[in-house]
Amino acid sequence: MDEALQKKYIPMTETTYYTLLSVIVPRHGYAIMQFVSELTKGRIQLGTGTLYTMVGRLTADGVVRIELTEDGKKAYQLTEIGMELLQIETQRLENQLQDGRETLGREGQNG
Amino acid sequence: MAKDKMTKVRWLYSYQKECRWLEEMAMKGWFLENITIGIIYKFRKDEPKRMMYEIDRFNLPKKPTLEEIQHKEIFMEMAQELGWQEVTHDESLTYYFCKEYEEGGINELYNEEESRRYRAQKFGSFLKKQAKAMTFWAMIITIIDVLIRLESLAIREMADKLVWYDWFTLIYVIICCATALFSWKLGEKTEKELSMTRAEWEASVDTALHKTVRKLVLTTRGLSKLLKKEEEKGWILKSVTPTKYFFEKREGGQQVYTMDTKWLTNQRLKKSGASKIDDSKDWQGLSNDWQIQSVKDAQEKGWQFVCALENRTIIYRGDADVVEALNDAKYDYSMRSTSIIGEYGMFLILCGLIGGVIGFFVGLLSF
Repeated sequence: MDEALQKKYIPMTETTYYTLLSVIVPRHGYAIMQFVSELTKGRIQLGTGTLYTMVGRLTADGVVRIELTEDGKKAYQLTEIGMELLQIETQRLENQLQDGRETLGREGQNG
Repeated sequence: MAKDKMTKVRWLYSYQKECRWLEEMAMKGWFLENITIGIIYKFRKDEPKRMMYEIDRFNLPKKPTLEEIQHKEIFMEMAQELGWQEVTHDESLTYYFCKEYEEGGINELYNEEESRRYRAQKFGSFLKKQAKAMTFWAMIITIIDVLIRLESLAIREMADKLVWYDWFTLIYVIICCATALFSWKLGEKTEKELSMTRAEWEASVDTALHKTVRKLVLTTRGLSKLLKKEEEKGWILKSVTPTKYFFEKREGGQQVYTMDTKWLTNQRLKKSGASKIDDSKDWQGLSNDWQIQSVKDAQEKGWQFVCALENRTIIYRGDADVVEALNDAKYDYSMRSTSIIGEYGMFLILCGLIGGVIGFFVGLLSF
């Protein structure tokens, strides 16, 4: 994968991460918003402009592609590059979490 | 029959204010239908409803990509899907959207900081681009005038006939510069306002919480007096420009103020026998080494930093019982010239004066 793209997206913001999760299967704008809202129990709410800015950037970078559904509406789906990014980021988060837990377990009690 | 259409003329320089006004109109049952030349608003009567109004625009960069060309279509579709309705757009292609207020829902078009700033930049850069275009034309017209004048020196009889063109240039350039300045300032203001949420903006314009005092204060003593007077009324200084003082309503009322400048800092250093702060390479007066020293001195004497005006001035605040005077009382009446316009400003004024004097004498000699 393009190294510049990796640099741009990793580490990624929480909103980007959840948006990418939501388009593993093709979804419309409204469905993306609902999916993210439900998954985070309403903590992350995507406004129209916010979602559009994000999706616009993701499609421009080839992380997400637009698919036309039968009714002529646009749905968004993760590309292979997007999938790869999502996996790299998930692994990174896992490492981060592990480091955090270990350090807190070892040195956190003193404080 | 009751009127079901209404036209209003409003000149609003703030999109936040405009949207708030449109929302107030909707609460009274008047819904926006059309905007002409940015000031004529047409409304339609219906059942009063709590609506949210938002604006957006679709600038293209110089070399747009396919995605950027398609952005507007994507946006419009997404907006519709998420409940935003396109109302109208004005002549500068600012699009107005509205949506019924939804309790617990998302009532903002941009509800996250990064994307909000992105939209603000779109508006800011659009207005600033207009300012740049104005400046460009002012320059072109001036250059043409100069060229014509050089030409008319060769053909003497032309000179008198072309005076009208000088007047045209003068007026044109003045109008261009004024418009450019206005557009630029408006661009900056718009960008700042649109970066805020509605609630943040409402708080920032609340006159019960904020206040601006426009005043040219020439001495340290005058400044301390002004700030102390405001402090006693509960207005605490937040920031300054050369002629404006911004206050915030806060707890307080007993504190006093003082001001420090490079010159005053150097007077202190001289008195204590240390060497003056002076950077011979700093032609434009950009160095703020003195401020670092000033803060150290002030903190030692119990003062707290309030705000600074670039690297010209620092204003300190402190408890009247705790603080020691930062500078000798004899400097209280010294003029704040450099601390107002800056060292570079002084340098430019000096250059202008010298140029004027030389020009005057050259003029005398040639007659």
